Amino acid sequence: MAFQLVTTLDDLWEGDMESFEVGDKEILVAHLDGGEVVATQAICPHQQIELVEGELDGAELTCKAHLWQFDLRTCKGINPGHTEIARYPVRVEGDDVYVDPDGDTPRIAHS
Amino acid sequence: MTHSEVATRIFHVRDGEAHQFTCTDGDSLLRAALRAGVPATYECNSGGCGSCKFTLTEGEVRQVQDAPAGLTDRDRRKGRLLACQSVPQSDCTVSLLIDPVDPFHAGLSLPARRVGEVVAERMLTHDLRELSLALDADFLPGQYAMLRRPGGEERAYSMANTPGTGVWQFHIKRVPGGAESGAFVDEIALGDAIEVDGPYGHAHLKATGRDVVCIAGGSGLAPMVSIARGLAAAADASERRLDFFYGGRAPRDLCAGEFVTEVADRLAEITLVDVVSDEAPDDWDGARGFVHEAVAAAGLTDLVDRDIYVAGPPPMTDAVTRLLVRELKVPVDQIHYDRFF
Repeated sequence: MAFQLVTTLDDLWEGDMESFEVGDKEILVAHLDGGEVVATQAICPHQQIELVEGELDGAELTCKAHLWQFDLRTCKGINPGHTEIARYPVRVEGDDVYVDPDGDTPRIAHS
Repeated sequence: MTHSEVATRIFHVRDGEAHQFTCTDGDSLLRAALRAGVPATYECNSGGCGSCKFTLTEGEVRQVQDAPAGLTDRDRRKGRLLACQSVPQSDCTVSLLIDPVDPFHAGLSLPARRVGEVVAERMLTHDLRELSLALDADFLPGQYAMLRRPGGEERAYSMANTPGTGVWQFHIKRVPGGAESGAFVDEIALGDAIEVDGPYGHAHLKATGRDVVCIAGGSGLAPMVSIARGLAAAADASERRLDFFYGGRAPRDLCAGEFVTEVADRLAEITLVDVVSDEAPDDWDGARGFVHEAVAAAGLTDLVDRDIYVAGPPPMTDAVTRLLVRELKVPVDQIHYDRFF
């Protein structure tokens, strides 16, 4: 599987995030302030919680359950720092956002 | 308790690891897993937190609550279920998330159903009652159990004592309009038999060698008292500092003093901050406001090096953890609480 059309910038404004099923994966696509589009795993690596239900502040994503925080520019954990989340390749063509679900694998981490 | 449910085989396939276990006595998928020593992720065991989500590949499960708070609309659309609310009705194949073996889990007991007789009781405040149940089973300080009085419904309550005394002690607060808590506070008598399923919970005392903060509000006193007692009983107690915060609505709700005094001699240093959220009477010289405000005002400078245990009503737990993580940058790994929301 390669890049798939997932959404458009018309639907996903700056500061927004949404989760999608892409291929056999659940993927969160975030449109960061400044324009960068990032695709990562939809489920927090800690427990079975949807990251889209958390808070996006700039590039900082906070899970609603235990307040695990991630920097979406790097897909590394801020707190805890020992964790990371998957980063799927993104291609933006015009308004269309394409994601390659085979480009990474969801992480599972533990506190 | 029903004994009519069929024995159920469960296969777990996530992480390439498979587990098989039997589910009997009307147990939920979660409890059956935990009793079998399969450490499925969970926190509240009551449908509220959403930590035990799983997907069903094969078989049939019955739902305890139709719309548990721990499942979002999105979860429902995606066919996710809660293991604590799903009772297998046939052999099932499921995919659920397994906790790794926690390095501090040494001595963790598998939960089991037992019956404990009420052997002591006293009122701690106008609405908080201490009940001691005779039970010869182990638990870790900070854990909880599911209690059911004769003819009642099950509720989660934390133990307040330390294990090894032949007694599990609970502090039960009368919730306005709460049938179960009201009965435990006002009706249950010495000699009554209470069904106890436990121990459960991850927010137990960890032997890390760090100093400790206990933050409790309202009904969250018991597990924090247990943590304090466990800390005081540890080999390195004389090197440990404990700061204990307890919040109530009014001065008449506060009763942590006797427990702090009880453990004070064995610790290097201990402080207690009592805080009331309602308008305080003129003779109140303690803190006013919410517990998280009292924690912020205390200005402890080494919070990032502490283990911090938190228990109380959801809004209080939420405010405290937000303060600790987002403003004070405490590592999440050092904040210990079981979410009941």
